Amino acid sequence: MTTDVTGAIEVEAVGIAKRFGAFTALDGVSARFRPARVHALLGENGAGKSTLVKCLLGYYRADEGSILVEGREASIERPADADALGLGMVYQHFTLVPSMTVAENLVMARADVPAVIDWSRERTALAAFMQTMPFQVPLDIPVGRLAAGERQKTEIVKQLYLRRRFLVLDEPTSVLTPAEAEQMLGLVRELTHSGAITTVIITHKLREVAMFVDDVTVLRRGRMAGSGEARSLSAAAMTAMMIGEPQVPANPERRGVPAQAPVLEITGLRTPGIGGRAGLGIDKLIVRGREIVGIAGVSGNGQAGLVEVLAGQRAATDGEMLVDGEPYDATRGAAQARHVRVLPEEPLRNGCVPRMTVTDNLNFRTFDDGGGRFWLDARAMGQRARRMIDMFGIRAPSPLAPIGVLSGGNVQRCVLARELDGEVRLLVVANPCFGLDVKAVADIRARIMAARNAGTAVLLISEDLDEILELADRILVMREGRIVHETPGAGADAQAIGAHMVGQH
Amino acid sequence: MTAIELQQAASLPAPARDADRFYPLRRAAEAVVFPLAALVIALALFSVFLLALGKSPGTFFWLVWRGAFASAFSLQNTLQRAAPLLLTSLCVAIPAQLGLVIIGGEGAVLMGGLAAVVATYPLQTAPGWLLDGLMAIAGCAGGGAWIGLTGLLRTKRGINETIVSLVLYYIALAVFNHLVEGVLRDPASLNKPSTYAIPPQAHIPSLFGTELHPGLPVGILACIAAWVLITRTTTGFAARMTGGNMRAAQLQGLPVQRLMIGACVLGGACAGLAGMIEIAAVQDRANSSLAAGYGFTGILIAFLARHNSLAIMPMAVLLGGVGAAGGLLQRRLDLPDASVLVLQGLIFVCILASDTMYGRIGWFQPARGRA
Amino acid sequence: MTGGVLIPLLQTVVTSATPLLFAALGELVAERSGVLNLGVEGMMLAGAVFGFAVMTATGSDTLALLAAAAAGTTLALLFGVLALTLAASQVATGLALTIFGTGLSTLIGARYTGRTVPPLPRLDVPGLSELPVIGPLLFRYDAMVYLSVASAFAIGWFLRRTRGGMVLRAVGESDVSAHSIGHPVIRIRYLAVLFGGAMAGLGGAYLSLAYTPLWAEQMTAGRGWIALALVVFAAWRPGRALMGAYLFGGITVLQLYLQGSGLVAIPTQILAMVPYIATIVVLTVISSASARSRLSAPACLGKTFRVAT
Repeated sequence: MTTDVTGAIEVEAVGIAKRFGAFTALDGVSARFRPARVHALLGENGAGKSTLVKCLLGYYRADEGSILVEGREASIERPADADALGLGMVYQHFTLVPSMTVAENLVMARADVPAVIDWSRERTALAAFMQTMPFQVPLDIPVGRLAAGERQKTEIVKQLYLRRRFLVLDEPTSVLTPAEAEQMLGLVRELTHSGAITTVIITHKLREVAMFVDDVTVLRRGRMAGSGEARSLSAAAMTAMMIGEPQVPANPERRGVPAQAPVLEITGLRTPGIGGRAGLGIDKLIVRGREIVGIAGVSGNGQAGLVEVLAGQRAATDGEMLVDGEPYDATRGAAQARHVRVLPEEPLRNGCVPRMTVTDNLNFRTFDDGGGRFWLDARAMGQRARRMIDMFGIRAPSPLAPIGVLSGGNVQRCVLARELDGEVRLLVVANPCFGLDVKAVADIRARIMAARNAGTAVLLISEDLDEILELADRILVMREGRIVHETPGAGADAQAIGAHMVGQH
Repeated sequence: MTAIELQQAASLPAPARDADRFYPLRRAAEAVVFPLAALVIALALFSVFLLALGKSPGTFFWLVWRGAFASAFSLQNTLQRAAPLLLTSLCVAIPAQLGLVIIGGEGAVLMGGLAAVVATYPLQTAPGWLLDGLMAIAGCAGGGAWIGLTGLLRTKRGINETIVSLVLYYIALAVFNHLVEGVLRDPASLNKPSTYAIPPQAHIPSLFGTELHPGLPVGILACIAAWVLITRTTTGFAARMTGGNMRAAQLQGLPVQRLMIGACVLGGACAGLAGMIEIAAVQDRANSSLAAGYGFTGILIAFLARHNSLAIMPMAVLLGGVGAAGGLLQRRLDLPDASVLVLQGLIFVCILASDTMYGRIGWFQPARGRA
Repeated sequence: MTGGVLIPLLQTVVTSATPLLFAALGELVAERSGVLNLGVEGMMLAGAVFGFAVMTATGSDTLALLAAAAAGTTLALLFGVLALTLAASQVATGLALTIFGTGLSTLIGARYTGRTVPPLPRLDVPGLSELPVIGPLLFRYDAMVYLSVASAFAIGWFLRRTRGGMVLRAVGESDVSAHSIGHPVIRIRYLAVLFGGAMAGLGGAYLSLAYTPLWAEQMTAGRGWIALALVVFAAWRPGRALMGAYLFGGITVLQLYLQGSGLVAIPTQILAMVPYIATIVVLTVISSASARSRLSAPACLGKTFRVAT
């Protein structure tokens, strides 16, 4: 703690430029963040939002330009300088150590902790501090055991505990339910308007901007694309500033109605819980041909387990899975015979081998022709890969480049190309659009819809409720490993689904 | 408020596969230049080390050249030492395809050699070819089982395979010593406890009047076979998938655990075969000469070759040569054997440092940069 | 067995456990910061030979121990440059360190082979060492034994009660978080690795200066690897590392005792492998599925950290 003065401060970036080698991440960006107001920083992936805030917070040094704090030029060369000025940031992930308690995390973040910690004194001080907070978090629980919403609150509490007066929130609601998100953003707005802090929220969610934000700043390709008061800007205008084109990519068209016969039929599926995470207890789950069934739920409620069972990475202790009426045990042979495909979340981490080539990665499913081949057929593999690269518009320096050098959107296109190739009866997709930019998201959703229109049964597991509302024919809500709610996709009520996600319906 | 800028998206790049025709070539060049540079730097550092000891680096390298490669005799000596190294390197390189770091190959050499000797005992009068076949099978089985045990503990219990394989080496050494000095001891072996010799007809003769024994062609064939297996077959492809990202392999339904254990058994079998060949072609009996450190040098060779079975061949010859020159170094420069270990350590360190340079030097990168 | 045999026997347990304890504690600290350094064996050997050499040259135990710690630290620094600064594989770097350390120690030790030095002097705790049974059992050792035990408690206290310990744990549990709070992940890992090197050096020196006060090639005989296994056995807790080291020390001594006593007709080579078999058995037992959830390996152990750009 460097100063006892509290209260919101104004921060202004003037002509900030930042280059990484030949790549210009920021090109003369100027933006003023007025005190005690909630600002939104909008832009696609790669627009320079995070580079800009990292310059403000001392993680990067700008090549050109200056930063003014309360109207005076500030020299911010390292994160500690930003700390000293009261500038702080809540990251999307990874700023609390999961195995350590809330109290330990809070105390550790402080710069002035004595070398030997007097825990009884610290605890008294923490308890007194908590009294002054608008919301409470438990101090003695390891952060890893807190729900996502609680963790996000802890992050904000931590920043206030560090007496931050200018706070950047990076996509703060990406892992929250709509209700949690609204509660959290409401609290942030209240705190900001009380004059305690100035807040900048990095986000894509225009609905939240309309509800909670005072001022908007938009970046595109490292340049300022526009700014203004939130209430004077329409969603269409903001989108146009973000992607540089007046029209939003059209929603993929839904054609045809679901078939009658089920493709996937799960009955009485059970798995044991692991380390505090819920096990599965699914009594009945049916997905028909030409149907997208969306599974909504707060992260950690068994969705990952369901994907693992369907992908054969985890065995169920009980229950039955049928695909087209035949028992399905999720082995390689069964997956090929029944035409079942699984698209895992974070495809580079879960579905690719980063150091193998694009060609190799595109052939993971077919390299052994279902187990019958001994010799690799390099020529066939190369042809198949080139066909997929062309069909899916994959941008790679070479088919023989390691897939790890591709951008996130192109990796996802590769995995889609691989898994959608040939006949597909059942497609299981988990969070397909995490961290992708607007164009890639539209492209990938259109591919999923096209597969559905062609007759594939699609099970879409997503933490992004908007994605489920857009794509699903039927929506199921999963909580603690169980299906707790079902509703048709058309005209579904996001608030009602959110209430079922957290069990407050 | 600034005007809304309506800039069209940049046009798509040329079709992807034409983006950089030289991409594979650049990567290949990187893979040759970097290890060579590392080797040169390691030799330079070792020269400094020699100067500190008051020895002449020039003399050192000249002696290595003379002792290892300059004459037919020294070259034969080098190749003879390289033969078992080819096989013990595979004991590291094959499991490495699955991301396993196995360093207990020396234990598999001992177990393989011992099993080969024991296999001849019940059939003293059988024809030589039959005995050699039995010895080879026993050697592979002994070594394969020993490293396979490591694979089993790794896959079934999740224990760090590096530590287990090394600790198992100490156990193998104790078992070996116990048997060689105990029930299997030939009472005639007084100074150096040894087992009974294998029947004379089982001895594998040298090739064509040279001192080279068939271990060299066997090792070369094994390296080529391993390379074909890893790069040209579906099993090898599945192994590389598993080693590169186990989750991706599981997602495709590959038998990950079976592949891991299989690779350990195969690697162990190679090391066990090395032990068998040392017995059948050189020693004729099992004694402490078998624990000559071939398994440990194999670790270094595999890492120097970046676990590429073809690159193992030149590396094994190189280190076999350094080993062959050891005696000459000792006599002429008064350098103990261990100075070779120092050189090996330096080479290892430099190769690791060079590994981290991949992708950092512009010329070797694709012309277009990241897509 | 009578008390007359038992007490010296237990004293040997303590001295044979001490090198393991030093090395395991050092590695434990490195691993709590997220670094897996497999070069313990090499660092121990370097400590053993440099300690012995300085002892021979100067006759001063203090200088000898300082030299041993410095030797271990120097090798650890090499590890740090490769695995932390250049982000090379930690496993491979550790192996390289072991090869290099083995070569270096053998080379330097060549002229000391077979020579002996006076063992570290015994420091009897005044008064307490005269107590019956307790005295000889607890208070009649050289300073390094007391230091090793004190280190176990000090490290436990450090990890739980100090800012430095908390930051160290944070770096090992979540390097990205620690970095984002502004803690210098790489620097903290360097410090932990260097500490590990110093402790391994001391462990090695204890072998060549006290346990068997002589130099022999590769005299650590795999103790560095057992120390690595001990850290797993200890579930990364210093108190349990203390227990584990004494357990393994006990097994080693029991083996030597049985060999010497002739009470049991077990061949020496079979007895010699008892500590190694015990290592495997213990690892196998504690790694069973039910126990694995209780093993709290640092989440970032062995993973390379690069500052994102």
